[in-house]
Amino acid sequence: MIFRAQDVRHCFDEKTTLEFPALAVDVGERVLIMGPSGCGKSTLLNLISGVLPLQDGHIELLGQTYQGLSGRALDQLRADHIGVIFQTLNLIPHLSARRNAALALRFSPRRRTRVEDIDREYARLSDALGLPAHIADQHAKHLSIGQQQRIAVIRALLGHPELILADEPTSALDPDSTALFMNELMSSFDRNRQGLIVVSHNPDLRAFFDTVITLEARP
Amino acid sequence: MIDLAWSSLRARALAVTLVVISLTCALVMLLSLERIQSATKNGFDQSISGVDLIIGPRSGGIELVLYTVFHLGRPTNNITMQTVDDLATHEAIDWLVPIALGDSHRSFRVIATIPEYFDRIRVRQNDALNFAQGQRFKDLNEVVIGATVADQLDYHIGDSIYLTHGSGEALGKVHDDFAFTITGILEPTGTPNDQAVFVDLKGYELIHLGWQSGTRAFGIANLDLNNIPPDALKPKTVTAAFVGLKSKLALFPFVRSVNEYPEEAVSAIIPGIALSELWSIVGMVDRVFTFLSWLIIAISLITMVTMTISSLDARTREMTILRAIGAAPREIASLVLMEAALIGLAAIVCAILIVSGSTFLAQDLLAQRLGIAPDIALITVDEIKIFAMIFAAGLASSLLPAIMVYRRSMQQGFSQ
Repeated sequence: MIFRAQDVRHCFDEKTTLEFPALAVDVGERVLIMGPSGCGKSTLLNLISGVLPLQDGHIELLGQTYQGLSGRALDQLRADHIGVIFQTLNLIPHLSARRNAALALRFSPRRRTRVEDIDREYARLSDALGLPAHIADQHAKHLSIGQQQRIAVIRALLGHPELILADEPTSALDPDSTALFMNELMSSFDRNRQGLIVVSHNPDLRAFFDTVITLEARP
Repeated sequence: MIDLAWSSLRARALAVTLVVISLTCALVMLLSLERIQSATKNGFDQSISGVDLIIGPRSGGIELVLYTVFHLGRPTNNITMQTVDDLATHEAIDWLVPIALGDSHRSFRVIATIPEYFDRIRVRQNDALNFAQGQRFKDLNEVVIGATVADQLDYHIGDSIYLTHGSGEALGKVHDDFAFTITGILEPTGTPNDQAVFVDLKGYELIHLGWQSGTRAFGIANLDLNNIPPDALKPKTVTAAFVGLKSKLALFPFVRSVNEYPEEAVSAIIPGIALSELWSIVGMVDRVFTFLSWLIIAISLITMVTMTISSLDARTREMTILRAIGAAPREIASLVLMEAALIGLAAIVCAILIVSGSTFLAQDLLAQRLGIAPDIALITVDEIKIFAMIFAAGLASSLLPAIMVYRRSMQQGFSQ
């Protein structure tokens, strides 16, 4: 088991409390979390990645429970074991595509030791995702949205983190590109070692996943 | 992280360059003022050294220093040679050099003194007055000139010059019945000695024979120099006397005894004290400028912080991405401080290079024209302190945006 969340509740103020369904991700498992906007998808994502402190309930990643961990320890846990992909604007505009991807290893010595040769690993993933080789040294701001999303995937995969977490990764893409992107993502991720959580409101994505969890709209 | 800071600064090259330029300008201003000020102050303090006391008519210390050391203004009174001779016998005294002021040559002051002046009066750090050419005056009609005088009037050894009575150039006031021959030219010292003309007291007395109340009663053109009785050229009065004491311990008792001298109203002043009193007046302008440069530095730092803060909104994404890859809020905040440090360092390095370069190039000019010798050292200990202060101030002022970044990173998740 890579990841497990149970009885997680998060309250923003005295009136609004979100309750999340149980969630479990096994090795090679692909989980889609769906729900209308405002249902707390972002909050769940922040809780899973450890950016928001856990208030109530149980979350564990690779057997390490979040409860009682310091912010610093959660940051390190994320650096070592979670690859994050955002909806858009995944990259630092003034860095090259390759350096953006390599950022993944910056805060994690553990992930760095898993990559023997960053350039070769980048080239391998870049090939798998159908990116032309020459964009490696271009500034991120000059890349197309689709290219930027793929660089973000490379960043998330580099160094084999156990959990890949993607927030609406296809919302900026048209349906054709979406299908292509999802296919590439699914074939790049390592089913023998990694688990995948994708948050989306796009029902077309269901086909790509083993498990679909639907969040209720907030009352 | 430093590479990220650097890359982020490069992405904002224009704004960053402008901030670096404004900070550099402020630093250059502060640094040059600091250097000129310390050089001026040194030159000022070292315009006379080796002299323990100056004895003159009773007046304020500043006034006495102004006309005896800087040859500025006009002595209000003289002291009698009788008093000087009497004081010279005092057991505390090692040496005594009288000077008489009043005449000039082409607007350069004439100092009538004794040959011992060149042994006793020191400049800078106890440097003797050395001769660039020739030697000291030995005879009544010989004259030694300072470096600036020789340079500006293009005088050489052997040239003849006339002195002018008083400091004006009015017709009929020239001692044109007695010519002096230049026997020595002093090396430049950066002190008022460069602008002085030195003659023997006896020669000075000679050209004033026959003068009453500033006009000539009879000429000396036909005087037979070999027939003058020796005592006739002994001056009756002088302007002041420089004094060296055998022991510094005798300083204050001797000053008291001079100030209480019964026969004549004379006073003894300690040059160092009078000079620092004078500096506290002259140095005021410097302090105003120094204050202004600190003000400009403050403004530049505020500009830097403003730039950083206004860029934060545009960089929220960058912060979020860094959070996602596992950067702690503290590390993201340190990015802001690193950028400030890089800006500060760049400005400091530029400023040092500019100031050192220009002092190096202009050192001859400064020494000749202004008589100041600024440090050409790349950087002095005092300057390191100043830079450290400015650097610390830069970092401290960037704490504000850094804290803003920290709190944002803490509170804000990955929400778009």
